[in-house]
Amino acid sequence: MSRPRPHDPWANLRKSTRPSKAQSVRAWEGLVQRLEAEAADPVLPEPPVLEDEVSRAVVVPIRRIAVFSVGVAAAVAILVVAIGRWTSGVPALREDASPNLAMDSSAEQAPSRALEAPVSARAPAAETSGSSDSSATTLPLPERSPAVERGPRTSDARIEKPADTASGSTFDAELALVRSARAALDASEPAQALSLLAEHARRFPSGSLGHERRATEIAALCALGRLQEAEHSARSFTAAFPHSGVARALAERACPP
Amino acid sequence: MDEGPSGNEGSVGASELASLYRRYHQRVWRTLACFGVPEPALEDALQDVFIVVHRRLGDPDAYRSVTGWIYAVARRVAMHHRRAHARHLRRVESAARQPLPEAPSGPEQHVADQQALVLLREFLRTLDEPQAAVFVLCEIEGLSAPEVAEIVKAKVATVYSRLRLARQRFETFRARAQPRESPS
Repeated sequence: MSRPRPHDPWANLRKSTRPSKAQSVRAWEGLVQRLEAEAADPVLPEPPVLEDEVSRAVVVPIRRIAVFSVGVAAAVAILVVAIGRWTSGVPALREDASPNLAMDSSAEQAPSRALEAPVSARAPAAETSGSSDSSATTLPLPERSPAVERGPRTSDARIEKPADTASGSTFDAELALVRSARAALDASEPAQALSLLAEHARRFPSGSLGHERRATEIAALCALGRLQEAEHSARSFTAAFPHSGVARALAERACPP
Repeated sequence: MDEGPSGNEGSVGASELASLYRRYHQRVWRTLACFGVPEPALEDALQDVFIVVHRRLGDPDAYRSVTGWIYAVARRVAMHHRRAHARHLRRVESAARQPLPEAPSGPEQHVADQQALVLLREFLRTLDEPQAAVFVLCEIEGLSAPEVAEIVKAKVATVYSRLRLARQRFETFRARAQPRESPS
């Protein structure tokens, strides 16, 4: 892919446009927190996809749903193990940590990416043993509860974020809305759920959780007794997500008997 | 290109995500920056990319070309963030674009410092998105036209055509950005 070129006018730009070590670590920490939060409270058992990707055979087959759920749990377990490793001072982001993912060299950002994990006084967390793949995961992982706030970000200081991203990224705002809708539905408040989903549709018309939004919407319509609308919505859902397990179930029957 | 995690298809876990992060996060960061994600949002956008990547771990389709796949996700996330940022700018009524930086003295200096990124982004704003994507992926990231064709879902000939046009426009842009300076 990347290849040396006789005259590469962009070489300096490539070198200078990179995250700082702190940014790399902070982004990874935030990523782990978000995954932990998702695993603790999945919106639906099926991984959402970017709507634009649906037409490609991206949508996960049914058998993968279970794999995903188990996988998320396994991922969190491994992350917890890695936390223990980090707190014991293992160097992070070692280039040699994953031999089967050896970086193709050439024209790449000079990979001085042997990020050293801060061996600070972090409280030990889950000093679990038996991490068979630990050699490949010596990344700096945060040691926090899943519900903690995201770390301080440059974004908070640099610009005032739009209302829909005030509590984090756009994705977080999306997730919060869909989760609230699910919670409303679970609390037998389908009208409120629909209202939240409508808000999601308005604010994130091409968001990452369109799949979840529409599935939840159908359930809410069913709960309100708006069966025809539910059927109609289910049909369009099935057409949009033909490979989705949820869609297949909805194709059989939009509303539970 | 297809140096994907051999034998790892189907495995879902943090070690794989960590490997991918370690291997790609700098490229993803740079791509997001080139694609116009404002710097304050880069960390969030970087996370968003790997959140999507994590969801697709174990999907063999994604591994046909790991690099291409990740670039495609980055492009998509960048578009999302750009739209959000544009909305934000409209909301706060401060959509005044950043002024062009001081014109550097020659093509080498053009790209020799941080101003190059500002210039590049300024330039890319003059292109339509598919053209900008091809320019970034070919020129900055050094991917081949067939690789880029797969990422942007276009024919190889289309990629070449977009690239040629984008290069022409870049030359024009560069000439305009340094009107009084001696040409290269």
